[in-house]
Amino acid sequence: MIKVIEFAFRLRTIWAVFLALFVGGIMIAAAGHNPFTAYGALFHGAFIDYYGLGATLVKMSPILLAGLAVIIPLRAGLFNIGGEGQIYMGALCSTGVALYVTGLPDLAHFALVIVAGCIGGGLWALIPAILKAYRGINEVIVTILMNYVAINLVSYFVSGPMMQEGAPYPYSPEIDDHLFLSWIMPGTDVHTGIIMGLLLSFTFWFILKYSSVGIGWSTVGHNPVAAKYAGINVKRQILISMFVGGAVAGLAGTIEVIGLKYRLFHLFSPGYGYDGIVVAFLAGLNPIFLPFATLFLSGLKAGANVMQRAIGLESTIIEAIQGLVIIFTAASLALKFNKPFWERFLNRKEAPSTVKGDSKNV
Amino acid sequence: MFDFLFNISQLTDFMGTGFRLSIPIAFAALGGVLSERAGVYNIGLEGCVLSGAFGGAVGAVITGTPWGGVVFALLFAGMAGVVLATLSVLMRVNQIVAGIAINILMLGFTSYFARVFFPDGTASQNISGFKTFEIPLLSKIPILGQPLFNQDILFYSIYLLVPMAWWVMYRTPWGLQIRAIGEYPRAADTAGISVLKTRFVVVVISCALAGLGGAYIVLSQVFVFTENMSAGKGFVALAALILGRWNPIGALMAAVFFGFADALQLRMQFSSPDVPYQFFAMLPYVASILALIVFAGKVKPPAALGLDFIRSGK
Amino acid sequence: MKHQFFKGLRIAAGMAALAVPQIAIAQDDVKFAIVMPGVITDNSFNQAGYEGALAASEALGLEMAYSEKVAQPDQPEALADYARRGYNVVIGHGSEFSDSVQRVAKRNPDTSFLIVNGSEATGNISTVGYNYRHLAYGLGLIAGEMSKTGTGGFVGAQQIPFSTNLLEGYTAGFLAANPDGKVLSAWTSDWDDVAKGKEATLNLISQGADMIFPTMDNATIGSLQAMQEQGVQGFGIYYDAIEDWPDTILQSAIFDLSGAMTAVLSNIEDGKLPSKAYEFGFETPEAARFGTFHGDVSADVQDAVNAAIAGMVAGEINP
Repeated sequence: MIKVIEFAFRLRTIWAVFLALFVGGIMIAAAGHNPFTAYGALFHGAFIDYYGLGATLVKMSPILLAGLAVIIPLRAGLFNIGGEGQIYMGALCSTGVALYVTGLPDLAHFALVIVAGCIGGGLWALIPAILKAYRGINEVIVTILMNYVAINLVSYFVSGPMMQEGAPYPYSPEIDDHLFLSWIMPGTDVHTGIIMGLLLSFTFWFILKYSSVGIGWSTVGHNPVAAKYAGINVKRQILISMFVGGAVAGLAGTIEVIGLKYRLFHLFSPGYGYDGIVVAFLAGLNPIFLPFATLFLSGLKAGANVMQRAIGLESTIIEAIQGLVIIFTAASLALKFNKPFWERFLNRKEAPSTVKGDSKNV
Repeated sequence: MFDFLFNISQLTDFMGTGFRLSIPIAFAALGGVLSERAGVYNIGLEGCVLSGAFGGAVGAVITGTPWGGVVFALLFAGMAGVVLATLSVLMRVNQIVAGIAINILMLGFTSYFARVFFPDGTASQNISGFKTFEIPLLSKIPILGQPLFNQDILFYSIYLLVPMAWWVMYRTPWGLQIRAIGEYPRAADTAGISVLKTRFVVVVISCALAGLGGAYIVLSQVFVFTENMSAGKGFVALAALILGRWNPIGALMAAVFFGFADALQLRMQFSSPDVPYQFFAMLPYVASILALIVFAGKVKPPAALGLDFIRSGK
Repeated sequence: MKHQFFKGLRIAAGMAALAVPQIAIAQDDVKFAIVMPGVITDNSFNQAGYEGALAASEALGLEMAYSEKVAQPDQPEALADYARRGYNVVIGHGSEFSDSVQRVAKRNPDTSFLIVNGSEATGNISTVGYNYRHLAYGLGLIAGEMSKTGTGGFVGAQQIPFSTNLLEGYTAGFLAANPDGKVLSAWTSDWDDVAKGKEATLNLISQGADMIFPTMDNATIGSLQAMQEQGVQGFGIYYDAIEDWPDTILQSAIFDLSGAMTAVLSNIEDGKLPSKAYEFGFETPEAARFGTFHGDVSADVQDAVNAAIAGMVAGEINP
């Protein structure tokens, strides 16, 4: 019996999702729609339908990388809330190189665009890392503030010096098509960025778990004082981990440009950086689980859009349901299995002499 | 570029704008100070401001008086606080993730219920807000009198709340408990303070205060509720409380700085229309990063900020 | 730009014009969808689009679907999804859809696309827009005539062609009426932040502007409140705003998307919309017109404005 309960407990995230969907279902019913039809549309639209799955994977690409951008610096103890800004700066730098560096062979140009995106995001992340390492300034707040700066910087460039002439909305000219990432699902917008994300997740899982760099970061993150005595240059590790995290976020911005939009847009990311924080924690900060958590969240987002289009449900309900799902799953992940409690509980049940009310009070 | 500083009427107008824009940030920052002093990040301030704004609108419409709005704002934001505290304090969900979840949830909830309550959007909202009134004598002070003492009751409540928060924090046993928990929860626990209970209460109060900021936007500034009207003010408050060194008075000063930076941003667009507005829009954020750098070293966050408290085994 | 279509509409004025398309739509099962960037309750651009689509669907008996609050990266997917679901016409509501529509249209050649405020009509893409300059010029004239301080004010969110055309038209009208005057502009960078709209307007007023033309979405309410509090007057946009602001609004530039969308969608033939840049202005009053004059606007000023409108329709005045 205890094994059954323990197994059920292991699936707690799934129960949490169901519970959240149940509460959301009440709201859907209150809005005059059938919750089963609605959720059917969501699930089918997110994972079953070919184009729907395509939309899910398109969303998944940047969020996956944004999730890595949270996990990596957190190993060294830095909370990177700045993924959003790093995405913008990565996209800005890569678009700049894509548009204004000419005369290179195609492949070299492509490589340079990717590198520029990574450096853009990495340097942007390096600023809060330096402030943290050398002046002890809280990185949570600096990264949040820098998001706003980055969004405004991109807005300035695409409505000023980089703006396509005569464009009806602030965006840059189109980049050259030799830079486009190739499509991998015909008829959809799914591009090779998703493969990069999966490969990087695996790579970083390996690096964080087995390489001396990853182990060094963990030491710094867990106990910077001990790390110092162990001969680790704590400051340098902080800088490197944050730079790498920012570079991955910058790559997320880059693939949005070269894989999906082919231009730099004003406000092109709707908070992928923040989604990255959510998936990082849903994945228990483990890169190997990250693709699953990201697939789930992206499916929820893409499926919610389908739900809106298929049955005309208002988008506001969908946002509320997303919030519910995140809250319930996060809460479920925080629960620890209390074996002694359940053992006591079961024993009481087996002993009928105990009053029912008693077990409630445990 | 700064001509308006030398024109008395324009200067008072400018300061009025600055103070009005600071008030929602000040309420939220005050809430944030309390919660972070007790060792809990409150990233959910943004969602609390939004639910306060929604509560303000609903309460004012239902009861027909702005006071009803204040009550509902406290209630709604307080409920958001209960959820946040349950997650981040009792269940030990990562505090930042819990805050982000609250923000998303509140954005969805308020927008959804706003359409239930106000089916015609802003047009059908007939919100009775607070009226401004002059405080005798003080409002006659040259330049500062009008911006500071010709405002409404929610604005004036800041004059009371900030010193009160400071007094509670530094002069009462309960304030000492809060600070002890934020610095060294284990010692506080040993001393017989219930860490979880205190943190829970403080987070709820923190959210309710942020809710008052939302109520101010609806009941004193714009008299309508619109979806996502908090527009990042809760995040700015996070910056303000750090700039204010986790101190109520400092947080208020920082909030005023942010409000003035925003007002200056709006103002400078006229005097220098050739400079892209984006540079003015980033001004408050750049300024606060610079301020953090300047004050660096003197600012120390509560030592146990962001850390869960688990009672070690007995 | 003048099209035969508009000439026809002008001849068969008013209701008669709307009756024509109903005969044209003999084929059933024609569906259209509109994708909007903001919420349908903003009392402004998005609400106008939603209500316009609704009115067109009722007038023409077409099935309609909508998506609101579609973020920049979700645009292509939303547009393409409607196309795959067999919607004949898919509308991108706002110039920010231009690029997404162009990309999706290439892959869905059998679907017709329509961009509101778009700039390029090619292939299976049409655009619908207004002569924003003309309507704003008319408002600017009133402002120039009525302003006591000689200073007009314009509040916009972002400097996109929609806003800059309005500003240029408004300024030209203002200066035509008062050559020594000036028009100040403020950009809030946010279409929906009501408090910013309000403060930006208060700033304009304290700079001496007494005739304000706010052109944001939700944030417009903030502007109007500031104007009401300070006792200055100004102009409405999209609908006859004097209904809600009887003291403040002197006149409104009504961009009636109900009329415009009905007119555009009535051109659907065999489930397709012929590619064209549809433009509406004073010459198509069912889609673009002025609303009610405030009592403060004197008969002389009204006459001058009406004369200018006639001049613009005739092509004699080109602001």
